[in-house]
Amino acid sequence: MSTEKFLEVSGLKKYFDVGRSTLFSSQSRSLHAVDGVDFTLRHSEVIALVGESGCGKSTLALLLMGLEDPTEGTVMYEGRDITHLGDHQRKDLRRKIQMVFQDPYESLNPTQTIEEIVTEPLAVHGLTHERDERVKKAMEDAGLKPAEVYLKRYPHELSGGQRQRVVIAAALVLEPEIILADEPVSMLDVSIRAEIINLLAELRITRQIAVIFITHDLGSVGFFADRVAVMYLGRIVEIGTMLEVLEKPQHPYTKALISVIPVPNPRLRRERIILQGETPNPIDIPTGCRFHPRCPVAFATCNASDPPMVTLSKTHQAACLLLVK
Amino acid sequence: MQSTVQSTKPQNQLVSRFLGFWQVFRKNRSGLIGLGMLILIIFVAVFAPLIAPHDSSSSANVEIGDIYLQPSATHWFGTDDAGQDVFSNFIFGARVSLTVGFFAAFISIIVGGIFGLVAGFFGGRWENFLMRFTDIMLVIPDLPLMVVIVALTKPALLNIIFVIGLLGWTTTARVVRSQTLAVKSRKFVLRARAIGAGRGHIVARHILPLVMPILVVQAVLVVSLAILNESALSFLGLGDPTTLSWGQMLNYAFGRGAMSTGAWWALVVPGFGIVWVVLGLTLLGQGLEKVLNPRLETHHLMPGRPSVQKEAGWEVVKKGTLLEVQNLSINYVNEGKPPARAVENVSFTLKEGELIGLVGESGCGKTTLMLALLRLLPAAGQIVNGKVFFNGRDLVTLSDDELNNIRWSGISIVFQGAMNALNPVRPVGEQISEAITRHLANSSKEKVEARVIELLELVGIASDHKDHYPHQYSGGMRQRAMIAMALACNPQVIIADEPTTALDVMIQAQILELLDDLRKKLGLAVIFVTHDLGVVAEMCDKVLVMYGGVTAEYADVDVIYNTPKHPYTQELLKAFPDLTKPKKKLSSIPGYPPRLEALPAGCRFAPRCPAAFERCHVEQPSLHILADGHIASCHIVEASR
Amino acid sequence: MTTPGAANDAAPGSTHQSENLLNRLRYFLKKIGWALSTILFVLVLNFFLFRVLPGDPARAGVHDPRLKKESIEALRVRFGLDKPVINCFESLNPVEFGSCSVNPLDTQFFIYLKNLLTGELGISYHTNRPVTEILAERLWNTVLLIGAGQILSILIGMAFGIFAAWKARTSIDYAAVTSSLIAWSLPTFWLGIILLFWGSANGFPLAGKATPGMSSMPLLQQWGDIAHHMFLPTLTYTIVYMGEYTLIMRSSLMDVLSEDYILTAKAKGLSTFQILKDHALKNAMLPLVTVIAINLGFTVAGAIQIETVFSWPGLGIAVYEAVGRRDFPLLQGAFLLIAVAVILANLIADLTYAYLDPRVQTE
Repeated sequence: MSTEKFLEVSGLKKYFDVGRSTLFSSQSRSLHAVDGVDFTLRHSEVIALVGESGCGKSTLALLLMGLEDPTEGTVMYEGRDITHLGDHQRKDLRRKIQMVFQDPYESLNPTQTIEEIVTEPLAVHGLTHERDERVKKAMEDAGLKPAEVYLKRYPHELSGGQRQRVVIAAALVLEPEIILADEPVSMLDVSIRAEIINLLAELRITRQIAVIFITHDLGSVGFFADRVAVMYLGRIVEIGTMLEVLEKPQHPYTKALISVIPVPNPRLRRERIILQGETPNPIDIPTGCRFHPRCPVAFATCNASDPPMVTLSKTHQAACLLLVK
Repeated sequence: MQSTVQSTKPQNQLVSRFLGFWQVFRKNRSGLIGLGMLILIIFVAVFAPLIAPHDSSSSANVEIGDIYLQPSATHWFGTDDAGQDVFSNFIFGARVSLTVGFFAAFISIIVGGIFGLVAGFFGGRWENFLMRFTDIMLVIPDLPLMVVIVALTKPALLNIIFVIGLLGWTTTARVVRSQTLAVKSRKFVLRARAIGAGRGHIVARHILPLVMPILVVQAVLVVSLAILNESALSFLGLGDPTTLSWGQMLNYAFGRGAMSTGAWWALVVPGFGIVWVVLGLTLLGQGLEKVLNPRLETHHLMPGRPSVQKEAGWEVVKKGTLLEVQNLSINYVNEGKPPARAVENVSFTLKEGELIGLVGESGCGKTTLMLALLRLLPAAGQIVNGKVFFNGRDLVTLSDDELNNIRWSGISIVFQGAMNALNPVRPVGEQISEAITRHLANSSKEKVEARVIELLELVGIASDHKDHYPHQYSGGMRQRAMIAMALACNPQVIIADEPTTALDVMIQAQILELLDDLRKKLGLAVIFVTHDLGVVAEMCDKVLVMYGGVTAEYADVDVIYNTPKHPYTQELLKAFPDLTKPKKKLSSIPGYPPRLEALPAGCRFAPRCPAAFERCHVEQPSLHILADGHIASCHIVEASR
Repeated sequence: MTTPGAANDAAPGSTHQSENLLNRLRYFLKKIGWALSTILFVLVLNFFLFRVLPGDPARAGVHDPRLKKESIEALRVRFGLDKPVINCFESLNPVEFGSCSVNPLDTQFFIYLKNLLTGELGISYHTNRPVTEILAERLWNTVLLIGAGQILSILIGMAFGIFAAWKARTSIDYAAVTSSLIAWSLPTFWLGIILLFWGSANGFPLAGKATPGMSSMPLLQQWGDIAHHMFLPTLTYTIVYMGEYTLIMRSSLMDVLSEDYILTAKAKGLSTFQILKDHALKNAMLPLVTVIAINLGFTVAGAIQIETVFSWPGLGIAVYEAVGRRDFPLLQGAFLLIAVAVILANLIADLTYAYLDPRVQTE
């Protein structure tokens, strides 16, 4: 695994205008969906972005895909600034970064056959050379074997897992270097989830594809992710290798999140740290540390100063005032 | 650049899609009748000169005595005010009326379609401008405006077509816009953008194919409106005097004494033509709509199917047992098809204060089983065997009134999606108090009020949220409110049907903690339906694992997790991630759960089972009691005993 | 009574009430502003339609070569045509450019607006009476007819729709749906004619609103007479619009009754009647209100046809007569009044919707 910086995100922000606060005031308010995110992705690395709804993980995905324009910050790809690109350059780049969506029922056009769906990216990019071979290879790499069986079918004739494989095949056909998977298994049955995760894990080995795996379920990142980044209210609050984050979490939010994930073992009923209330509205971000109103270990200065990322090891960082020495 | 993939296939595909559509459409009786009516009248219009018994345009040989002649052999439907044959005029009138209708509708559909598509797809300023304009045009009454414009210009056929067409696009624009918006927001459009597809490609390949069907239905409607408008304009004296549409015929007849002479035929026949066409179009439109947007014509108040009890249960109910389900089987009845065996021979018991977990993949019959306990199955569902003893009484055979008294006060349900399970237009507090007044006799208003507040505080909702509507609650609060509602009448059993699905992990933990607290505090017995094995391990005393409508395994929670006997339970556990073993590789179960209409002949799990052998594919395993309270249905279990 | 440990959810609690009120106010103001701007659009449209399109005899008369110069001048002054239409345009049909620096208040457009503010709609060509006066006599008759017809068709349509949905897929349902489809397909004026035919044989009055000479009779008898005259027009109206309301109510109620909260209500042990009354009707009414609002424009179309068939002295027949006699000031006035009335009725429907659906105000 190479260690060079392949995709580098720094200070990325996305604010959405949500209109006036009251009837007569002209002051506009904004929703801080992504509020300063930094991370890097290496070649064929799997990074998991974990967070609850409203933490900005889906907006981050759209920003990385260039489907939304960031308010601030930069995204570098192989040393090139790709934050703001013209349509043409963006289109070339799209071959390198592909996306897999949460709901395989929704992300396939019901009027297209599987063949059309998988061929479409090639047609869009004008790639005519060996088209049928590429389609076949992409489908078989995505586990749709033999491809001929599926070509003429429509999405509604397939099961959920097969549909997600079609989505993955349509991404693979462009031979991307990064796949951004936004909750790719959360709509699937438990018995099928593992096969999609295993498929993605295989691709990084066979095709050297880096994966950004966005999920709300810390439990599912297990053996598959190299690194885990935990997001809260538009920011990464802790990032580290999978074992560092899962076994030695440092941020109180990560600790709580890990403690409430049910473990399938009745002999291991653990003490859970249940945070009260709900994630605050991203329109009114709390002052100081954004987690302090719900933090079980918050102290006096937490509402005043915004904690910086504290380096805990070469690979492990967390943003909490308790860690500042 | 376009390869063969695109040049040859779309045609075949259009043909095959049309054939597929026709297969469904031809089962729709009203749609077929409409289509037939329409084809007939179009045929008549096209071949008018061959069909009409008299030449319509010549009134050369008409004499005064020929005016308003009674129907006779020569004039089937009599003559009109000019002594012309009504039947012939009717046939030629079809040409005019249909021409106006189709051409005007064509204009409307093009204008409305483009406006709707542009507004919906591009959004922003375009949408604002176009939709404001559409809304204004929609509010301004059509016919008076048509009257004004036609009166100010010349009542020529072309004029009329344009006026009707250019004023009739508003509803089309709205319908197309909302459909475009709906399609645009779907994920496959986002995916197409992520691939790098341009706007033109997205509109042509993804938006139009899904807007087209709605546009066709709309077009059918617009044609009928245009025909009605043309006839109304003609009747008001604004028709083209050089042609004779049905409306024009009526105008002449009504204005020139048909009423006073009693010449009903001159009034009835042209009107009949209009009704024929409009009714045909309406029926066709309804039929198309039903095919393109199929809806189950069923609802929760339709009478259910009577329960059947083929074989007796055990009848003996142990002491301390609150709920005992014996051999419960449920079918879904499909007209013309064999019934789908959704649940078969499921048994379990629930003691006071016990929490049983019901686990299985989606479609395994969990929810069906739960609904059947209170006989809340949809109209097609039918209990075909078994007993449900609650406090010693069999709920399956109870009368509707008696059952209604047990519902909620004895057994209540926390439904899956609280957003949908709460009525959106009534305050939450009211929905809770309603249950109290229904079941607790002579409770005063103040008492009920106090109880509602008590319940809300019990689940952690401040009482000032009582009068708020569900949409003002957050997802977690709604689920809490649902729990408060379930507790309202002090039930002994609560069925929690996936109460935390779709909630965030932390909110899920809060709700689970709340349920656990309440159970301990109130001594509730809970049936917890879920697909999350982790939640079951943390909460439950006993577990019932279901697969494809049958019991796979039923045992204490510890047995299920540590010494499972059924291959399905074993495989399911291997597929479920365990945070305490982060490096463990997950394995999946190949294949997918059986469809109810195509159940395998033998064991329902056999096609996916890693341990299946010959017998598994031909013979359905029976329930084997392995130990006290441990049941598994598997041939291997039998063999190993 | 609060359980320790139970979470008090951080929902925006205290600010809710005032924010709600603000939202409601905002919604109302938005709808009223919307209605006003639509009315303004209609005013402008009405002015320019009659000046851009050919066909107005006043303008045609001005160009008649047989008339003397003085008579033309007199005509121009009488119809206000001596003034420019609007800045930069002397006339719009044929297009004649003019000075852009004229006093805007001295153009036909502003004089038209000014006259409107004082309720002045011009003089009818045919009767030489002020249009406002004629319309004022007619307005209430139309309101009476549409009002009675709307109420009846909505009530009956709702009742049929509820019954059809409740008894879905039974013969009652099929009968209700089929008859509704047929009723929907009837051209209004034709149904009127048929009923008139039938009524003439059964002793119903054939035309007008009252029997001549009735005004000297006691009030009760007068009303009875009006009701007798109204019967057939109202029946026509009711039949034509009832069908659509039945279909909408049925499908809307079918949707509501298959919602999860109906299952909740059933699980609570409520009776069918209670569920229909407390959980289904209000929700099912929402689409109906929308359709009623959208339909208002069509109902006027129906009224014009019905009034024409039954010689009911309302706005609709004013339109019919104005067209027949080329009485353009009357046509212009009637169109304006009808359009404004429909816009206002639409506003009322919008506000009713907001009242019925709590979700609207907090959007």
